[in-house]
Amino acid sequence: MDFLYDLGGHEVSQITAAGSWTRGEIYAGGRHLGTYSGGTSGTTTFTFSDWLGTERARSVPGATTTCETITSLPFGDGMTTTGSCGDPSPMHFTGKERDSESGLDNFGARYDSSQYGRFMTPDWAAKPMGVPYADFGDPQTLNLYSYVRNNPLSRADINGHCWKWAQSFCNWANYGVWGDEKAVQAAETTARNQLSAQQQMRAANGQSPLIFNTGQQANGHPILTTDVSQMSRNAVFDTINSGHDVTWGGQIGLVGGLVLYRGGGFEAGPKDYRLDAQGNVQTGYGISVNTDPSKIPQRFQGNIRIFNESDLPPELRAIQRGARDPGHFEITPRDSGMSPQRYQELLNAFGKELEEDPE
Amino acid sequence: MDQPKLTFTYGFDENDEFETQQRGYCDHVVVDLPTRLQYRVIFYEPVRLAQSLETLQESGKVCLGEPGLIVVPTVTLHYMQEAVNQLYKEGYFEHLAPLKQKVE
Repeated sequence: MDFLYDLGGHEVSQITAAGSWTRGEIYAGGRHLGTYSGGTSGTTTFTFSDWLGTERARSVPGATTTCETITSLPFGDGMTTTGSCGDPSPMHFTGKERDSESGLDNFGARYDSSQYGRFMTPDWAAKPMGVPYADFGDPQTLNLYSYVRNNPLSRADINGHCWKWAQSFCNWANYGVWGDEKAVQAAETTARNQLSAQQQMRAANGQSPLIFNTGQQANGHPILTTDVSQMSRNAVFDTINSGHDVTWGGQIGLVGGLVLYRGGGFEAGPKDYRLDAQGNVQTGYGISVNTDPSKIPQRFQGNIRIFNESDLPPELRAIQRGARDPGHFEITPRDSGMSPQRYQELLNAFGKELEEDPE
Repeated sequence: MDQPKLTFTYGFDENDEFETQQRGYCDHVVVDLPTRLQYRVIFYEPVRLAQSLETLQESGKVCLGEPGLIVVPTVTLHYMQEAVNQLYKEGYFEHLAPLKQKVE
């Protein structure tokens, strides 16, 4: 038996070893809509899912009642199916394929056991890191086997990596924004409203914007590359699935970190930050950067630096500031107690590093 | 001069107007009152103030009590001027310590 998967990792066709097509799955916008089963003379069933994408009922075209109902417990355990059309699709818990032999759910990166309410293997990351996708403010994330931090009634895993990462992945896939819902809301307006301006800017810089606009792909934020032909959507998803940071064609990509633009140099003046009572730079204040180059003040146009947030020195971070422009960030000391001199030293070193290695 | 006048220590041009709105706060502002007294004030928009408070809390501090803090809908020259005009009429500056006696 062979399976074909679409670019979003969804199983779309099942084919026998002899080459006969036996089942097809229909997806739109990343959602499972229905199933063609029984080969070319088979039937079509439509799928009805709950709020997490777990498939709860199926019906045939024209019917006024369901032909299959599916019940299960929060982790997808104790699943039962009843009805006249059998169980035409293996897609069940949060829309993921349940393997008929092992009973495990295929989440892409890992298999999850509904019976045990946990993944069968620890979470992993292609890039070396201490505890993959861990948030030290949330100790639940330190358990590399847990499924959606043991909160399966309100969360669904997208791809088998930890929930927080998966949420970011989902948001990237749907909106082209890496981050939580707040980040999506913030970036969406900026990205969409300024798309035309961004394209012009990037074209002027010798870059070609590549915009994904089909179902499961990013549809709002361009990904930069100097050579569009080097990329395919397969390449994008292969790379995403294997890690976070992406580099193509000598330019940084959006995925895996926030791409930021800085107008002018990295000199911080008295207008750029506030000092605390000890004369140190207050954390939460710093030089301005923007996710949208067209929002860089006019006087800096022509002198714009581009970098990825993840490249900042560990003592610094970029945080969104202000209500007027969701794309406006400031590079600020991560912790309090940093002198203006040290702050400037770090900025200078970072600016120099960018000049020497713009990638 | 019958209205308060805003003076920006490091200047305030068109670029500053744009950047200040992005930042959501404006520091280094001195208000010159008709009484010839000067007061240091700082303007914040509500969102930026909330963000600053959040950061303050994250860093382990518990409060923000800044003399001269004025919250405006958006940090524009128009709103800043309008705010000090209104606060002057309401006697706000009588409760602040002036910077110094203005010398003519």
